[in-house]
Amino acid sequence: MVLEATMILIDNSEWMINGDYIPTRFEAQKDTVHMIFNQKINDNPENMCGLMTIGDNSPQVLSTLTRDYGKFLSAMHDLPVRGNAKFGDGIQIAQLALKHRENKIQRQRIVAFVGSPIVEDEKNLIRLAKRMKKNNVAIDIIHIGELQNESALQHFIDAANSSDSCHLVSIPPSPQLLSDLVNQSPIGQGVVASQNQFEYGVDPNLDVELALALELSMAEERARQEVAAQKSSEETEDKKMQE
Amino acid sequence: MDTEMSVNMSDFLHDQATRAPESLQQSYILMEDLYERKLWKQLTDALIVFFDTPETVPLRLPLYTNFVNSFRPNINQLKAVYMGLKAFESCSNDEALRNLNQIVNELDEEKYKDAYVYSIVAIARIKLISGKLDEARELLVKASKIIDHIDYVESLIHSSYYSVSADYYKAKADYAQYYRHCLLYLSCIDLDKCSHTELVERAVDLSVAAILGDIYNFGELLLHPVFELLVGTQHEWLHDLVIAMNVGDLPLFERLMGQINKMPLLQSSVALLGQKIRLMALIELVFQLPPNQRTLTFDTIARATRIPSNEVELLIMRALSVGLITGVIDEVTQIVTISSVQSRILNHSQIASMESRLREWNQNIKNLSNVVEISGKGVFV
Repeated sequence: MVLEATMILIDNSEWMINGDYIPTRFEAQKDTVHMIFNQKINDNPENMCGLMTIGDNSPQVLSTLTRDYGKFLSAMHDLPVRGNAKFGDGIQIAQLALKHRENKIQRQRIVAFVGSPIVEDEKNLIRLAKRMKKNNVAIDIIHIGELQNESALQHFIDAANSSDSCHLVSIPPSPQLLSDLVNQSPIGQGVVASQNQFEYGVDPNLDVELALALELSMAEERARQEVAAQKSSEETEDKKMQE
Repeated sequence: MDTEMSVNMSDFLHDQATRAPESLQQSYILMEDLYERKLWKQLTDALIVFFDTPETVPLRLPLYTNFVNSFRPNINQLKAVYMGLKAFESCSNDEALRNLNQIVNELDEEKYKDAYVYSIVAIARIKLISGKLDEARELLVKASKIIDHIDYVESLIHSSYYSVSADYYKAKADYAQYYRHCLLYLSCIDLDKCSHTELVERAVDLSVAAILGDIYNFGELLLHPVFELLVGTQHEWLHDLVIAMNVGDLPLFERLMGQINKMPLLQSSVALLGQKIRLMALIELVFQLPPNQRTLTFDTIARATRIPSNEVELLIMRALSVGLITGVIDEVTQIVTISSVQSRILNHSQIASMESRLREWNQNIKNLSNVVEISGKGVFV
């Protein structure tokens, strides 16, 4: 239940039109952003999230730190997918947005999506990472698509890491949803933990009726499956007898 | 279904590769690989490189219609239109127009403003070539309005728009507008990627437009790298003529009269050129005077501009009417007091003259401060 202010950086460069993630890199990213937003907001009643883009040739803050899901949705609506990504500039602007958070007790975190080649010099990136570490900004990077960036990003995370607060998750193209894969990674730890803690992902102490309903539904489903299995075995026996 | 489509595309690309020269076969292998991996961005870039290669002209149309169209909704629409235009280079004007109209109808104008503008400008170009100037003009006006409302305009769109606009004004013989749009076009393109012949042609057209148009400031042209390309060609005299016009060099103008008469467009406007160079000579005369000595007699102007004294007043009135100078004519004493000259882009010699004038002004201020200091000793104690 860490008290955090998180800036989420979306890569909306032209590389996001690629269809190697389902349905496209950009749409997969948007789903994952929704998942991360909900996870962060549900984690702590005082957590806040902001949103910005790093593509379209210049980073742009779409939503300052908020808990309002509607504001977040409208900020993500109709984003252009064009130009090149400016990863370094995006990180610096995100840090500036976090610096102006209202609640100074909140820890600062940046969750950045990187899905296009990084043009910045590695030395400059490491210098930037050290500055982030100095300012107590934790950084999570969800790296998709352009896997030639991996070593540069790994060095960046290593330089920014302080007591295992930063993570790099490289996700190669696969038929699975990006949001599910991020969910299973250290970045999505909160969701995984809360869902795996209880059967059916619901705490019976908080919602007794829902837990009972799910239990009952599961029992009915098991019974139905048993009947179906019995029926099919009987049918096969009948066929054998007829032969 | 998707696998079947992929197989069809694979067969199509293999078939096309067999028809292509050996140097291009690697491109088809790359395209197939990127298509199967759904890497649309990289595929678009590879296709643009392919379409920009001159030897691919006969291969472009089948590749565009069968291959690019199959994934066109997934890619950058501006680049898709660009590839379409490259593909239609091998078609007749009517066929290209039909294909472009189809693209425009399929495009969502609100969502893909840039691609839409690029398409209608391309249609305007074809209309212009076909001689339908009014239809081309309508499309250019429409394009201009849309461009004004796009937040980020690619240089590709601007260059295309200014190129077609310049060609339109050339066809209409509107020299001032041609001059303006042609310079804007040249500012949007990479000059290194243009052929020398094309640039020399542009330089000739620009020089003629500057000379014949209602333009009295040649600075942008004189400082443009394209203008220097005229040196060492058969059109070098145009280079000299523009320089003569800029500084009002009447002797050089008279020496170039033989060449001027060889160009029908200039020959028919010799009287206009004579008046224009005299106006430029007047401006140059005023410009070289110190600001505190800008009262000129009609005789001085007549000598500098080589016209009879009785025509001086008309010349000054013309200069006042086109806004080259502001001032007052005293017809009785036959003098003109000039208060300001139109701001202009200066060449190196004019900048040097301005520098010497500023130094002189600086010295005058120092002298004045010394006089004040000496004269006012008793007061300042």
